[in-house]
Amino acid sequence: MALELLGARVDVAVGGGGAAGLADAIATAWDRCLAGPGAPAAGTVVEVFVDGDEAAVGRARDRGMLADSDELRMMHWLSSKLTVAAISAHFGELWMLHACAVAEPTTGATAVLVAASGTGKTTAAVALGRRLGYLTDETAAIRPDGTLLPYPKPLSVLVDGQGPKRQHSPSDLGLLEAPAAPWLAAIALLDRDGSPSPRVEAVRTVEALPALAEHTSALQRHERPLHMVAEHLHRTGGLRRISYREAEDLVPVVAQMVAGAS
Amino acid sequence: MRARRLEVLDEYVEEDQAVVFVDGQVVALSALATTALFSVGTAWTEASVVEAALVAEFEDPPPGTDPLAATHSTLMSLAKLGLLELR
Repeated sequence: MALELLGARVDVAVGGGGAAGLADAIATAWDRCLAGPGAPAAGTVVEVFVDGDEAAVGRARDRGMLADSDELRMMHWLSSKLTVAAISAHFGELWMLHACAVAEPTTGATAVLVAASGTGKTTAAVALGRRLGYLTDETAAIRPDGTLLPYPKPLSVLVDGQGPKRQHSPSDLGLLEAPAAPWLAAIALLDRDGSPSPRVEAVRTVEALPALAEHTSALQRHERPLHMVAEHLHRTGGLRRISYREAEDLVPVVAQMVAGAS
Repeated sequence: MRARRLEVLDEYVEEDQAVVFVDGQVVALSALATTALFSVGTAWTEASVVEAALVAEFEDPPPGTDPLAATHSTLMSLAKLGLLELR
């Protein structure tokens, strides 16, 4: 199965007794990342194996495959593996922030919302993506000129509040498609501190740089990395911090951020 | 005490504060630490030179604080971050 992740081709080779079911699950969950006719011809190959026989799973692991006896768990590991493969291909080239990103559907003006794992990025993406185009709930990939490469991966959602997470296609969750040419209009840190009504504050660049560095993949691989980040911040009016309680509260705030951007 | 600057991956300055990228971490320095850092060159610099720069910029420290001892403490903090070498 061929996927196109951040402009790079990744082939997933599926094996084991559960191969057919797993292939269907991948095709459904990763529907917005399936390689189209214009995709690069060759790229990384990720071998996955799912089978109820633990001994067969062990042998597959010994051969270096990503293997599990459970499809749900496999989908979780595969998501992490594919994300690592996608971002590794662009170290030093794209500014890759651990963030969700959504865009105004007609203009492409994009808000990148940075937050640590487990602090509400996916929940925010689900709430915002029904009003704004969904680019990602995981990695915002920003080119030097400020345009973005969407990474519309499945969204990892806990089943009954317990792990492992189930991978949902953005289409199944009713999230809007990313616009054709998204561009960076705003960057914000999400702080789910329980504020009864959302609060937006400006963050000085000298404070923004360490805060964003924590959420950037391989920042040291960029030439003059601090200046690169500062330039993007200056171009977009500086970093903001949004304190909020519920993901739904973010919708008008973020919609306003991208509505007037030009 | 003498100090000299070590290389950083990148440094960004806005108004009176610097942000440095050193040893894999990005750190925002206070205005005082920024002045101390920038008064040290790549050649060995006496702590008294740094002390003079700090006093010129920030005036004397609070009563009971020895300016040279306070300068040493600042230089040691910068050395701990990997920004200076001391001897």
